[in-house]
Amino acid sequence: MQQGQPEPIRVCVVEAQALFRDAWSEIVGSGEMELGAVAGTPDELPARSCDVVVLDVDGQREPCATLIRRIWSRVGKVPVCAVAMRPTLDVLASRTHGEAVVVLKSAPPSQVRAAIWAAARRERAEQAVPGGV
Amino acid sequence: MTRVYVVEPQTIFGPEVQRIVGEAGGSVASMSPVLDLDDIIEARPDVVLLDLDYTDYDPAEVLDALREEAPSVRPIVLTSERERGRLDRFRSSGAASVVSKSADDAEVIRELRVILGGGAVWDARVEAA
Repeated sequence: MQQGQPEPIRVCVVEAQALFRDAWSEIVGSGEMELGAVAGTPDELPARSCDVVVLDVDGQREPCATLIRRIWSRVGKVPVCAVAMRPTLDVLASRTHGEAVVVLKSAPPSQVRAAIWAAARRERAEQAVPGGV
Repeated sequence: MTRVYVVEPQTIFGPEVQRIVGEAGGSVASMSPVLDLDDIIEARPDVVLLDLDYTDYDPAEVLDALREEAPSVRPIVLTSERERGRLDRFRSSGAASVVSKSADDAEVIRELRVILGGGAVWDARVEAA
């Protein structure tokens, strides 16, 4: 890294679908973010610090709020970006309660990256609801 | 080269599916986030790779419709489903293979090579479900 450039934010991902774990390196990969780890469940996250955790809610066996608490008990109270196929009440509640920024998996990668950034800055992002929903 | 039509509702993973199909020796004829039978028929693929976990339809009915409307297209189901009864229904509805999303990309590439070569794969996780 060149002197004067900010440190990239370290992103950890919880992704139940093993097939798509490698995809996160492409989605997250940029000069501003670096992928720290991809785990199948919150309990498999490395205990070392992440700046932000991306939680793919689909395929997990617990509600979003429970998963977020598991993440916090594992890595500390870091910002969470929840990604999901559908804006279910369960997922939207975590946004309403200020626990996570929410983005849909039908959003383009640039919008997912923006949501991760927003979570890292602990700001609310515009919800990435695709047209027609 | 086997022409593959991909239905992947999780748009953010589309490029990864494209990479996996390519590494397995296939070529993606078309990719869609939604199931459009007319588009599949028009694209005339050899294989349709369907992520059936997020479709708004009954997956088994989707397979039934494909078998009726496009009998020459081999449907491959991509799923995290573990319930034995539902997996049996995929098979009886005409799925040519079932690939588990619990497998990593290297394993899925190996399985797709077999499938695209004309074989059938019933992922071990699916068989053990």
